[in-house]
Amino acid sequence: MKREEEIRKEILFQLYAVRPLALTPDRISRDATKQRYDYTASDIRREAEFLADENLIVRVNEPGTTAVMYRIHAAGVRHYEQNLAA
Amino acid sequence: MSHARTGKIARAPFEVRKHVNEIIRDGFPAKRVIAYLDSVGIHGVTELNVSHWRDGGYQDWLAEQSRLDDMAAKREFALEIVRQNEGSKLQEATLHLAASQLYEALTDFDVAGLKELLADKPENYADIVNSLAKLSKGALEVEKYKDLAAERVLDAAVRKKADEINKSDRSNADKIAAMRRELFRSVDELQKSGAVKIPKA
Repeated sequence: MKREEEIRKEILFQLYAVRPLALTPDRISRDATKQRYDYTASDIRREAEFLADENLIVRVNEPGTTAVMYRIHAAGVRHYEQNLAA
Repeated sequence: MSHARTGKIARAPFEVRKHVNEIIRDGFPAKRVIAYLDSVGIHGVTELNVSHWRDGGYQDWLAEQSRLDDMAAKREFALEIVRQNEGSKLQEATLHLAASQLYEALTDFDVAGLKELLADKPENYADIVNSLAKLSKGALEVEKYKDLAAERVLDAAVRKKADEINKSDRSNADKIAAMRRELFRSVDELQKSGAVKIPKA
């Protein structure tokens, strides 16, 4: 699995785990770091945008800030369970 | 896992794999797994296939479940606090967003330890929830509270402070008390000044 695919898997895993809540790229990066991945918030943001364009996750604007959070879409849940889950 | 597994069990649908893992976790022998797979139309799986799965895919599943359980516990904690606070006043989407923000703010806390503490000393839980519940009663008060609470939760400085509190050597009870002070100091000050009247629960 290529690095960008690993990052997308980690994003989908975390958003799947907290569904229907949304997470910021920074939060996802920090949790990934705890799992000894070296994915930066910038890496996460880039791949999250890819997944959003694929309609697997959706962007959520955090009120009161310019921050963007991401929430998993039903299609993302199906994709995760069918293709990525252990 | 850096590659997709391709064994007979790995290629089974998600729900089937999940059930196989649960059978193994519950300590049943390989024959039980094979019988289940047969019953859902997956034939030709041998005891060796099950053994390989037990050493590979099943271990991945266990690790994944551990992480999922941990994150789900934090998610439920955030949702519980928001629900206790706002009840049915919020639309689901707003509730989820508020819980998302709370999750972000609280996620580095030791939820398992906190739950243990609250189980031992339920009065602490009541203190937290009652503080939120009282504030949620009364339209004007609620609006002022929500603005203040949202401002506090969103405040990056508070998040930084929360990190500091979490990483400190204090007891969980002290951490909770310190977090409450950080999050609701403005509300407490308003209440003391009489600018906001908070109904009793």
